[in-house]
Amino acid sequence: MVTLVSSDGVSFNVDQKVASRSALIKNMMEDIGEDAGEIPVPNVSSNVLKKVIEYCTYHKDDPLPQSGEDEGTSAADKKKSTVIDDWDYNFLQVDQEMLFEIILTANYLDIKPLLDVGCKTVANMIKGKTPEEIRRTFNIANDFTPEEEAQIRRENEWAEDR
Amino acid sequence: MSILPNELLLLALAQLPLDSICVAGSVCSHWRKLVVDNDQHLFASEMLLLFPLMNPIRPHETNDSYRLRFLRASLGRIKGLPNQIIHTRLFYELQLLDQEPPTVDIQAIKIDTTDNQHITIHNNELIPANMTPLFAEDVICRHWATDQSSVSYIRDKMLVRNGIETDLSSGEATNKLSHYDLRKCYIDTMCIFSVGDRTYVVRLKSSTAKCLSAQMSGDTLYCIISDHQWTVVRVTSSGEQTEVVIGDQELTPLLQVLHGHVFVEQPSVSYTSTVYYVNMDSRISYKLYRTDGMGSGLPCAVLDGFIYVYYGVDRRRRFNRQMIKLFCDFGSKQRESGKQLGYQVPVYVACIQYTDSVDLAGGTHTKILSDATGAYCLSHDFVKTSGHLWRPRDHQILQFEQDEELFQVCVEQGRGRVHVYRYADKFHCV
Repeated sequence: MVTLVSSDGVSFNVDQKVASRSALIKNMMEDIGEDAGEIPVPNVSSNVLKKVIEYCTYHKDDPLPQSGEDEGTSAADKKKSTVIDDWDYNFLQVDQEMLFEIILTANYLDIKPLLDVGCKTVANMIKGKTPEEIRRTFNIANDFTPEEEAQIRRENEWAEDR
Repeated sequence: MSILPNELLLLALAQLPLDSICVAGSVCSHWRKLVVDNDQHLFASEMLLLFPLMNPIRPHETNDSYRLRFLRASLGRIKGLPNQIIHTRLFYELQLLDQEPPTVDIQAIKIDTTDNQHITIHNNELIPANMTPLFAEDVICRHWATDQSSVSYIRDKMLVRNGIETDLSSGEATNKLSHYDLRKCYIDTMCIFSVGDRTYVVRLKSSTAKCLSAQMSGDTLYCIISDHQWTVVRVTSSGEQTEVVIGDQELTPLLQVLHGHVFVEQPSVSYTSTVYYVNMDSRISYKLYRTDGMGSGLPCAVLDGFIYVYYGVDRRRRFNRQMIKLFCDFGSKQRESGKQLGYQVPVYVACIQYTDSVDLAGGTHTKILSDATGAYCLSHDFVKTSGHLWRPRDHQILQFEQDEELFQVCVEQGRGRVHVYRYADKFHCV
């Protein structure tokens, strides 16, 4: 077992296999040795860390992504996809702030599958929407001038004409 | 509300189809800047499908982004990508360059579903009568009956067109190129190829075996080994070697690899020859079609489940061959109309250059030569005396004469201009 300590001081006792889903923690455990003890996770609050541990626990038996798996893979080889597994989909049905925190934590702790599925969730929130719908979804202000908007609309005619 | 940093927002945008990325770029100035600044990352894979057939960036377009170029291409309906786009783009370019090209009907032909040897009429397409568009994996070239011609290909993020290397991101012409070399040497029972800074070692069964018709496809080298029988060999940069024996015929086969699909043309004593498909993974080969006997009948392109082949209608009209389309699903050998092959366009491809030793005395080996614009193939049938030389990519039949140790090759280029190539250790333009 290893103990992860969140930024607000909450400790989580986690199986090493679960903790190893994070490449960052896995490397730390390897550096420290078997008796890892407490590992502080200073950038992550307890409610987010709890969610991330839930994800890692569910996926603890998945094959680990190889390091540098993406390196050398051409852009053309990468298939764009926003398909998400059912469990992951339900897991990420959280408010936007939590979703972004989970993505940031996945990035910080280097949990690539969680980062991927988080980004796909964000992509799905954008996909198929009009600019105005996207602004509403993410609470973004439209700061374009009318001239800029007209120019952009002309550029994007092909994409909107579906 | 928490805001995603740019790099994570980019990761999300990268999952989106192109139309959604463009819409995202019109949400706010921050997102727009993110999309525009990273258009190379977001659009590159799609653009690479198109670049070979797009015009190089003009001086006044040096600030053009991938995205704007994509938009400018007026590709509108992306559903048919890439085949529709390529055709659309091709015809667009033809119109640009040829003004209003005359058109003739060309028959696209598919291989019969039950018998590979039979071909049946599939449909008709229009193609300008006085040109032969030719696109291959690494070299995209188009030749016209006049002296207008162009050769372009992508290598290491650079668009190379008519010998001018252009940086795809900046649009700047950076270098004038003469040629790329694929060199080889023999050490005992190894044939060692060097391509740029990479080395490939082909293990031979005997020290008398020879490697012929070497060709790069992506990072993999393919060649034909002559050693009592003909063998197609695939060698990866990690040294993995795969061999498929293709027969022991007397005449030298020709090799063509397109997007990893291996084609071999097996000449026969009759005028026509047969093109085979070689499946390197399952180590089998099977017959695709017979050629028209007018130079190389190897495919020039593999696109969306079709292979494209030049096919003549009349020997006397050899300069005006037409391109036909053969439907073929190489993986399963099933042939269904409209099925997509799902090949992958390589991002960075090496230029094919053939250099090979010619056995002048024996006169039995195909000599494949190269110059700055492409490869030349010396027909083995005529080596001893005089005969034909053809360019595999434009199938221009050339004449040559033997002068003791020298071959003098006259290449008619354009209207009455003749380039003379003289063979000693290699061909020189004199």
